[in-house]
Amino acid sequence: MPTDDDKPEAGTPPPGGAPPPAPKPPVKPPDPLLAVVPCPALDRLREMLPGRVGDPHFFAGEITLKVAPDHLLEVCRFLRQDPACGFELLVDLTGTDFPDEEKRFRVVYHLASLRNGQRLRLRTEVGEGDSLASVTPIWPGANWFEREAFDLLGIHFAGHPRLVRILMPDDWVGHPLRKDYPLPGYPEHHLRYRTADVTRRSYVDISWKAAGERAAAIVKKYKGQVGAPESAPHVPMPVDETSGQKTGD
Amino acid sequence: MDTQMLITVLISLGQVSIVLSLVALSVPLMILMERKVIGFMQSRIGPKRVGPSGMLQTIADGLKLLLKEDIVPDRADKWVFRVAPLIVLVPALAAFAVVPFSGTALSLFGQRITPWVTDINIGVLFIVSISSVGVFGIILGGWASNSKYPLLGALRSAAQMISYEVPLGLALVGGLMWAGTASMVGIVEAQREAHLWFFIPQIIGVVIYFIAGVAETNRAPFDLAEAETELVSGFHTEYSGMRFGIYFIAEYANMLIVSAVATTMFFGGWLRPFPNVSWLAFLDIFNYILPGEWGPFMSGLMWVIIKVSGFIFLYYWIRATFPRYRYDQLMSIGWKCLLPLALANIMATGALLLWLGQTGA
Amino acid sequence: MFRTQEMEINMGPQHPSTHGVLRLKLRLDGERVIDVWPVIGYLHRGIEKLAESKEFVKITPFTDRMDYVCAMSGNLAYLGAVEKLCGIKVPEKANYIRVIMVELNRIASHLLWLGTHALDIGAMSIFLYTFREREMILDLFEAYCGARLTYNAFRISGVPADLPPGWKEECLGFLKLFRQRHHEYEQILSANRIWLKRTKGVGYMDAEQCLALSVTGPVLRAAGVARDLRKDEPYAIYDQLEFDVPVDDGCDTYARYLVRMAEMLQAVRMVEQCLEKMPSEGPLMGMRGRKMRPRKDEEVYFAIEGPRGEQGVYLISDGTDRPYRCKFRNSSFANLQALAPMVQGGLVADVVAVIGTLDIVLGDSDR
Repeated sequence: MPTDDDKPEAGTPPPGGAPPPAPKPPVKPPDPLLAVVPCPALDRLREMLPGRVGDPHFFAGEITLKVAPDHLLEVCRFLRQDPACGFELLVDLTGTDFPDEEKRFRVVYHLASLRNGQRLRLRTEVGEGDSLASVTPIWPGANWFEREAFDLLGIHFAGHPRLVRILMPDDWVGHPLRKDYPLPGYPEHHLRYRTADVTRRSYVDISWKAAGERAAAIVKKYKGQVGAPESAPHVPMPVDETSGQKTGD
Repeated sequence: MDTQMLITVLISLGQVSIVLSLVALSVPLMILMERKVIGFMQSRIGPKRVGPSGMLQTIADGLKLLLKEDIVPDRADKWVFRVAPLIVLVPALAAFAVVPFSGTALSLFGQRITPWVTDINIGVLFIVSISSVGVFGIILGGWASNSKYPLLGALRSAAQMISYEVPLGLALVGGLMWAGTASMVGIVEAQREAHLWFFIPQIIGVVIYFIAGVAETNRAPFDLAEAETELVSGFHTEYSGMRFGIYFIAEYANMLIVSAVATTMFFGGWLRPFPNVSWLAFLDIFNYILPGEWGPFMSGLMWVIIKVSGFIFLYYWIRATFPRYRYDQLMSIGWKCLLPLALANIMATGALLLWLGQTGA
Repeated sequence: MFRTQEMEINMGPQHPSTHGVLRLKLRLDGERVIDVWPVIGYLHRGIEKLAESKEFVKITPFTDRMDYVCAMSGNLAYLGAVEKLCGIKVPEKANYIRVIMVELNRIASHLLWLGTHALDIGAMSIFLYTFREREMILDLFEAYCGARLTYNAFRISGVPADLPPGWKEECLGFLKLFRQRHHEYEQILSANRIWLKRTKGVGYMDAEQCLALSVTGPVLRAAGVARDLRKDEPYAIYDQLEFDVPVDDGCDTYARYLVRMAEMLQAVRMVEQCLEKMPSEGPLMGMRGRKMRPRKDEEVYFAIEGPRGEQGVYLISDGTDRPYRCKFRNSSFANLQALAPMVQGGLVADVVAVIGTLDIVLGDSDR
């Protein structure tokens, strides 16, 4: 007659071998590329300016922070001046075109702190007709980077001392690095630089005013042709920084 | 006009043509040697294709310049533009009139033919003043081009040349004090009589003279006016073809003048080293080869050529070695360094000569 | 009665002095420079736009052509970025070869800088001498990868080939000769009165201004800041090499000259160490195959210390084997911004000296 004595003791394996253990859910090894990077500057920033930046994204040992365009200057100024952050060097300022997004352009700021040995990336989004605050008051070296972003993508920076094209010719129309600008360019634009138009045999006036006049002459010449530019692009006259007067040279 | 005067005039014309052709021949040779010498200093060979080891290179270049289109810029001042190179060339060539090429006069057909075109008793003064006229050609060339780069180059060059004429002249004064005469022939004779070449007591003077001479001729390290890397070509940017060739020839002729004056004034002209030590007379080798007066004539000529070539080599050596001075540094050296030194040299020379005169040495 | 007028003069874009096609609009008051406005873009070839339409492997030849004077550094910067983005490891031997090539290229780049800088200032002979040494380096490169200027010598995750037999001995022979020649250059220039007068006090820019203008490289090190990515954020096998970072606090052209001359000797030291320590056997490529599939919507920035400064590549991926955006952060573009402040108030002759001291390569600046 089976009695309780016949029941195996608790803890001993049942006769006939142990049942196979229940399958455990697979444990993914932690992805090294997404590892969290300790960053004192980041902590300080979130402590002093809460709510100005989004959550940090870590990838490949780098930290990316999202900033709204309205808070950009404030955050940048803090990052530059606060001793725990101390980002003296603006390494790069880049624009990218995401035509499918609501705010088309993504502007990215790469910062480096030499004294604290840190790097950081700030990221903002700005739409096509909108302006982004220029960081030239904080890092004057942003001057040419912003000019390049304006030239190649059409992002406007408010407060830039002289936002004119830098890599493309002064009277170019269009922003070549946009995704809807074709790689080979527009042949009608190339028409405007035909050798016959640009070969000179006599003295050329190199002042800004004359360049504007030349651009207007080209517009007039190619008026009515397919793909002709609508108007000469406005080349702002240089302003004398000390007196604020237009030099008009 | 009697026959004698006519013959004298013809002889002078002959001398002038010989001297001019000698200069005209040596300038291409100088240009070629510069390229070869500087090439060797820069661990390369220099011209080697045109003619045996590149000997005909300058002739080819000269031919090329002659055949080039003569461009006169549209807005240039045409007549001044055309005349300016000549204003530089003519004084450079005219200064050769008083340079002695040798010591002994030749007697041909009963006439005495001297190895110098003329020997005026203000020879040194003549050369220095004639060279000053050359500055005009540079200013006018730059101005007439009606373009910014030549203008800048011409102004720089003019100021530089005028500034360095002062230490140039003053450095020569020390030698004049020793020689007692300004006649080029007289200076060499004075060196023979004094038994020493004047560079020994005038070592500072010769250094100042040569540095000022390099600055006068717009050569490195004072060649800011034509610095390729800064002003394209300075005052001769707009010149092409043979006009540019004339500026070029004028520059080398000026170098020859500076070297010739340095040789005459400080290094004994046509004299051999230790001219009064008789057992060294064998150095005048042509004395033993050629008969009569031709021997000493050729020996003197040989010594002049050797010494002038030495200075020209020094020109090239300095060009290959040193960086260029900036304009304000150049002017400051001329006025603040060379001029006081030249004045001090004159005073020291005067004191020395006075002391020597008193001790009857 | 007399009126002085400012003169606006144009230097470039074709000019015996400006290194590449750089146009400078100078405003002069006599000899003094009031302002300079650089105009670049003459060498803009749209490399970044091209890169958006090509696979990762096909973009490497573009990186040669941006900074054509030190093409190996350009290769390394880009490939490092791709390897960082895709998480690819490079084997040790390949890293050694990469470092040898990059440091030799640094020497070659500095030799070219020295030759052209001296030529601009008037010492013509140095140009010939430095190019003589550079020829020897280019011969070494030709023996390794077949090219003298645009190498494309590295591949993603490694190098394609080992050093040819006899290369190591030839390289060591060259390095020994180079130390002696380097000493000769120092003898010619470092104590030369005219050189000192032309470079001391010219193009002054102190550390704060440099950092504010995003200037890196020897210009920053000559301002007293010991910033060198090879020491601060080591890549490849720099953390295993012993070398010093030359720093000077003169902040002028002469200080930058001293810094670059010292860097050449340090590079020699590094190459000698690498040749000695390099493992004789080992894999040369970390992975095979041409298709990269990085994560979607990730971005990386990878920078190396090029001869001119921080040379960085910023990549945004979209999950395909082509980058969505490829930005080349080249030091010449950033350093050229420093030209205007350095030159204001100086003389025209100083403009040429300053362009030389910034070591601008227009292909690098314009892309």
